[in-house]
Amino acid sequence: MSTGVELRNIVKRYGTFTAIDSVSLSIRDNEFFALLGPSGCGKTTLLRTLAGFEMPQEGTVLVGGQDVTHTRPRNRPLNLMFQSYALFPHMSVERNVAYGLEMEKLPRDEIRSRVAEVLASAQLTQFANRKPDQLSGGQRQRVALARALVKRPRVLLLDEPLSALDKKLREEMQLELKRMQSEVGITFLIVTHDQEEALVMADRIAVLRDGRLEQVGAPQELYEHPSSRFVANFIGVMNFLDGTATREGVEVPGIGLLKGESTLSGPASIAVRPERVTLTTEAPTDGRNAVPGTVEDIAYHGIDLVAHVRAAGTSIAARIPAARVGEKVPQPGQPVFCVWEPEYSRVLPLN
Amino acid sequence: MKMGAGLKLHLVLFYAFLYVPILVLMALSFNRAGLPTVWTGFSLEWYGKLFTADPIIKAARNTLIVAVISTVLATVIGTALAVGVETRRKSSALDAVLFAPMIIPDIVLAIALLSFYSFLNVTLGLHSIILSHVVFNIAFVVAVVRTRMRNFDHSILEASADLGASEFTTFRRVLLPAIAPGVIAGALLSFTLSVDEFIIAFFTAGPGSSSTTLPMQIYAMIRFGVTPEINAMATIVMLVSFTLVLVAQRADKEVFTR
Repeated sequence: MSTGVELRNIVKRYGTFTAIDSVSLSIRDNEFFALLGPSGCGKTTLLRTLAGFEMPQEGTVLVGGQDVTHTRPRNRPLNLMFQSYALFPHMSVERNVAYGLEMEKLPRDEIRSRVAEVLASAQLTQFANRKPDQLSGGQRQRVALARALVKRPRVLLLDEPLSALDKKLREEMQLELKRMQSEVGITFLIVTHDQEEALVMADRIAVLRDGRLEQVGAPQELYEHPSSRFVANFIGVMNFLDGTATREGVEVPGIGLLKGESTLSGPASIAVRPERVTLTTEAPTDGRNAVPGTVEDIAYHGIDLVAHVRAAGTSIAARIPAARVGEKVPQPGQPVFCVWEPEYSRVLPLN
Repeated sequence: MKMGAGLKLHLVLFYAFLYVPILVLMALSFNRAGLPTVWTGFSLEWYGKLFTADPIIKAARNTLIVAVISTVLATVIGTALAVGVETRRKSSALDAVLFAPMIIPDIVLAIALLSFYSFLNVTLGLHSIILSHVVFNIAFVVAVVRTRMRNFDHSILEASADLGASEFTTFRRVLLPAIAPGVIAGALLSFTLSVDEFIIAFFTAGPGSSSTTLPMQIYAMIRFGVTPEINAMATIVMLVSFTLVLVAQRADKEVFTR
């Protein structure tokens, strides 16, 4: 697979503040790639650097092997879908979508047929003559997408494309975007702060923190094998118990050795996902990890229960699937053991 | 909304104070007798006289020339200025300088301009009035257009560039249509201000009647007493201004769609 986009040692400073601190990243052709991070982590700046609206002080931006670091936005083979959609308010849907093709000075017939085609695939044909303020949020989002896609860019950049939609529509559009991406065969680079969105849509995710790359990998890899406490916490929920790492796991004061694959030594945390933890009334004898504690509270989520257990000076969350709820529901105040297989342990540096 | 009786009375008195004198003036312009105190019957005589009086026609033409040219210049320069300060550099010092011509008393501005022209040895005439009007009209155009600039999503400008448009195309096809209501409102406002303006025109006009504007002509006539002719002219000037201000308000209220 060839490289669609490559960022080499990008540095972007505003005065004394470093927004992007030496980020290198390569995104393959036809990949659905997500830049994920909390607000202020530099993900939008990175996207705008790619689009050409921000100039990095250092580093190189390559698109399809071509250096575009100093190319103006209008000459880059990529298009950006803005968070606010940025539709031209005085133009109809059709004029909005045609705008980019008119700038390419294409023949009128070609513009007309390409616009019609894109409007049809975005189910916007009947709204072609409407102005943006006569559309719903979801329709506007589709116009913005159509306007960028009609240009057939090499890469489509999407800045928080679903943040303005309500929850239900957002979930529909996640799948819709994914379907569209595989249909048009264009590299999608999406910026989001919503880890669930990134997990559902992306082939690979880059987690950013304070302008630095924290980890890059497939969703499952990030979820199952986070390389840091930050990633583990940002993607999903994670329980941590602090102690000292040994070759077999982590020695936690007052509990003893909790087993897990470890390459670290010195102060470390042992981490486990709530859905890997089961609650038992008796200590296991089969070598599984066990932490004794007391049930603090039970939160009912419909699909499952989340029990918080006070143990080893901290709180451990355990997800109990609805199917198992009928059997025996732990009660607050009840002494239990939090039990999990050593293979689900992750040993991570303290910070 | 419910309003107390006291508030209502206050409102009526307020509007009466503002508009009764004007209504009296308008009524008297249709008075047959040439006296401002006694109503003797309806007549259009004074309007007829107005349109045959040479100096008045000439002054009206001068006023129109000044208003049209200064409006066009101020609108172009002011719009460019507003776009510049809103998209490029933010500076409160610059803001203050841009507002200044609106706040400086007319008489001060008039004297300043007159001294400036004589310092440069500029001969006075219609052109010097036009230039002076451009000075204060720019301030009003900038103020109106800037307000408009703050009320739209600036990312549409980046979207235009992203879709392949040059800066000029972006200005023409995206920015200008988005701020057009503000530009039109600014232009109508400066036209109105220019038509009514007396002090600055009076100071920067040339000698003789060649560059006399309508307000100056009225002032010259009024020294011989308020005649029904003046009432008639004032009525016309006021109706023109009033209409333009209404149109300007509507233009700016109109959001992008039409």
